[in-house]
Amino acid sequence: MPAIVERASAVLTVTIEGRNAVNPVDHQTYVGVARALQEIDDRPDIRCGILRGAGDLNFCAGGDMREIREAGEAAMADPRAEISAMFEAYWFPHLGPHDDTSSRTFYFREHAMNYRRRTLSPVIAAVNGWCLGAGLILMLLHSSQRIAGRSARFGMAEIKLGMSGGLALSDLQHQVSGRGVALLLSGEPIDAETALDIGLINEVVDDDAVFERARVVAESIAARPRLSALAEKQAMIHAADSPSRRAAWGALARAMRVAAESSGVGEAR
Amino acid sequence: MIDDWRDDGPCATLVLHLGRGDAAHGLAQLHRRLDAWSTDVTSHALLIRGGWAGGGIGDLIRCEAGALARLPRPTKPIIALVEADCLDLGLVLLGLLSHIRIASSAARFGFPEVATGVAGAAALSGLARQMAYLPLRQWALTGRLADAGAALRAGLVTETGSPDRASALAEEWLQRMASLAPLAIQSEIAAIRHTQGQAHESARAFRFGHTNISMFDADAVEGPLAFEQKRAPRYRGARHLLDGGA
Repeated sequence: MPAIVERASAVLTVTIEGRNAVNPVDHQTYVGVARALQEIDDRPDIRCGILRGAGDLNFCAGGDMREIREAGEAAMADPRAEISAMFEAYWFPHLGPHDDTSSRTFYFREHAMNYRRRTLSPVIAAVNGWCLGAGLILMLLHSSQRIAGRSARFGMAEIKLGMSGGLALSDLQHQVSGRGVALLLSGEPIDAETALDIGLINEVVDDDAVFERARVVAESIAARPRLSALAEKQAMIHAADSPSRRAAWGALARAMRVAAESSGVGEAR
Repeated sequence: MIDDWRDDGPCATLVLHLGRGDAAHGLAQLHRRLDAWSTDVTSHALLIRGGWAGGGIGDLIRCEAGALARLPRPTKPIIALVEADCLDLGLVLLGLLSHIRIASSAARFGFPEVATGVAGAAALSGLARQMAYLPLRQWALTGRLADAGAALRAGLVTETGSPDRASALAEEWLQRMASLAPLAIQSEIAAIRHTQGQAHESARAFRFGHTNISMFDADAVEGPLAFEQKRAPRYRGARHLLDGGA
């Protein structure tokens, strides 16, 4: 079971469940979590999500090393096939998953496609313990607010393992200060207070209060009109994606129009 | 401009000395040294320390303004240790060259030359995309100096400490960065530099292609394998990205 989905009122909690206490994500887990997060966007009865790690000791310590190494070896054996599979998945996501899941290109293809997915509804990340590599990617791509325990640690361990942390670092670069990027460049983890300083997370609380605090924040967001919260997050994403301020204004106007036209301003529920 | 140069296996150290009146000559000297270092495949990280004050942008403009633009910007990690004042040309070089910046509590930062009518240094430095906007604008417009704490809060420096602690921190960072897989870290630095200021979607698309370069390298297999076998990785770093290519 790669992800557990639980609903309480209008809040959906998605729990990353790895094969041990630090919740490493293999490919199947990553895809499962991404699909569970998609539910938050798809279900009209859900207004906010919470993303957490199973067991409450760790959020997610990153990818499955053996799987990554095997994918890397396959890639080196036939780089042309791997590169074309990745580019196809990134640029043509509408083509959908490849039928042949036994193909050795499956790992990179699915990875590339999942990288383009972002949850558009508000999501609160509740982070305890390790939040590394793929865990950090999940947090960066999908969460809009982040609450961490005092003992939480964040990092891009890939760099220490000979790999580029590239895909996640482009999100990181847009979300934290230049100091934050420099700190994470070494692959060494940073603590929760430093993460707060560089703008990576919103709040630090006691370890045993993380999920409860996330629940309170999620409930307060869920009590607001769904479409305005959705429009606000989408406008933020589009503004970051826009090449100019004028384009960002256009994105904002479109998001506001969608919210207003769908249910009427003041009652956009 | 270079007081001393030391090679110690994968780590190199450059002691900087900025003097008034020899900016163009000094930059040419720095240019040659960085060129040689960036193509040395045995050296993986560089620490620049010494005096970051004394050089004037005014001198440079009077001599040869293009020298800064032509300065190599290696994608190998460069750590800067700022122990005292880092002003004018020194601050421009800090912004252009270094990726990790350690400041002593005695350090001060700014562009005092603006008071003598020389403007534009802040723009030359590329710092507008690396630190908070308002502090940079204040430094550039008023010529006031900021202390290490303010530089840390503005995101200009990575870490601060007492003079002894700052020196130790810089050495730690040098060793740490030199131990990383050369291709992976160069790929990161090149990508960060290239995508600074880009719209998010463009930056992602660039990185997607760029990341593939380091995913299809022997080091990307060696790292996870060493992790599984609980041993230190033996990176080859045979391929290097071209300096300035990204």
